[in-house]
Amino acid sequence: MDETNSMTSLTAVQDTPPAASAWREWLQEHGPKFLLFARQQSRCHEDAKDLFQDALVKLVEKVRSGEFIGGQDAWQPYLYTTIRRLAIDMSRSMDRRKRREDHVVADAANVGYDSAHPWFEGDSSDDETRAQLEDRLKELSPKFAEVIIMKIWGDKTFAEIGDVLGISQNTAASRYRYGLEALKKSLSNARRRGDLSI
Amino acid sequence: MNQDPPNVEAALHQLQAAPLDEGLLARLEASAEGTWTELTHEEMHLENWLRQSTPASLTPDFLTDLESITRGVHFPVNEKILLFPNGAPNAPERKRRPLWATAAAVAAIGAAAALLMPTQPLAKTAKISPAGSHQSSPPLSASAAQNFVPATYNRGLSAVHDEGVIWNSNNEPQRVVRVVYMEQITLKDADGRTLEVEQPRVEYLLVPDKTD
Repeated sequence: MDETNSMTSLTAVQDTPPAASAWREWLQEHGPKFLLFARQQSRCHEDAKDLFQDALVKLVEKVRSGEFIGGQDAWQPYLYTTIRRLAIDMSRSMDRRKRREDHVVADAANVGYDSAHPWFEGDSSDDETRAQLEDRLKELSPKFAEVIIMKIWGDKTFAEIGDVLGISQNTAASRYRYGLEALKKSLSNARRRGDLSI
Repeated sequence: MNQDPPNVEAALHQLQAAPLDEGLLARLEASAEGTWTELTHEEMHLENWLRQSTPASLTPDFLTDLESITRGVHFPVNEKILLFPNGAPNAPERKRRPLWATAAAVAAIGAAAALLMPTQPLAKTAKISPAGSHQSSPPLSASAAQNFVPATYNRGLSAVHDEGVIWNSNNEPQRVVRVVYMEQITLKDADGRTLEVEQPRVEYLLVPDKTD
């Protein structure tokens, strides 16, 4: 009997060349939620793109050099954390953060609904809802909005959100509830005014 | 100022800290019990409604910009996943492995039983070697080989093939498994001479199968 024939050989697949398509797939799947988070963390669409791009550069450099600890599961919290940190740096450098926190409502009203770069997808029938939701999120205190965005559209748990923000999961849950309640009131007011048909 | 420090202190002592409101009390209680992170039905309903709005997709230009950042960087695969080369068994076949193992075990038992109860002359490919030697010798006749008794046996399972599913008369699915052996039997006689026999053998086994 030929023993070599009876043995099953498991051969590791060779490292493939740079898998641009795999990265593209990953970006297509996860990119929208990071851009949404960056939009909430910044004042305009262009700033948000810069934040996301810079955060991705940092991630890729770490992956390339082998410094990144953890698998793909760890990429998302890393990106959330980095986007947030970069947003704070950006705001500080432009002396915007304080103004934004002091005048959240005023800013939101001024910025309004950016129809050229909406935060959310939607067909034409949902445009009204989408616009209202975006405006209400902009009106929310950033510390509530960031938790809501990570929880609902990032599918993060309170524990994961707490890790990103450096707070306990109970604090994350509290902020989420405050934010959700405020959002609900705000959307109800919009509905009562006839701005929203939900 | 007509109020001296001791009177101010006394006045402050008379003040009571405001009681906790019901909302904060409930929150503290839930946090202590570890249930604060569990959402209510109403909260989940609102959450699901909000989730219906999905984040805007990345524009093609921006996606291309991002992709250019990753150029030249290997996309790591989860370390827990082993990739197999083309032609390797796929997942459904792995699922059937227990059935094959069962079939092989049944076949081995049958082969062993056949060895213990020889009813036919030994095969034509028998080779005889002097005691302590494993050199090949000319084949023996069947009558000479009858003085040998079995010493070792190797069933020599060489291949198992899945031949598909058939249905028996009771309308029950049965998987047909073809098992290929190259049996090796070593026999010894009273003089210590050994006889090695190799014999190819194929068995078809029916194993009850499951269907959806």
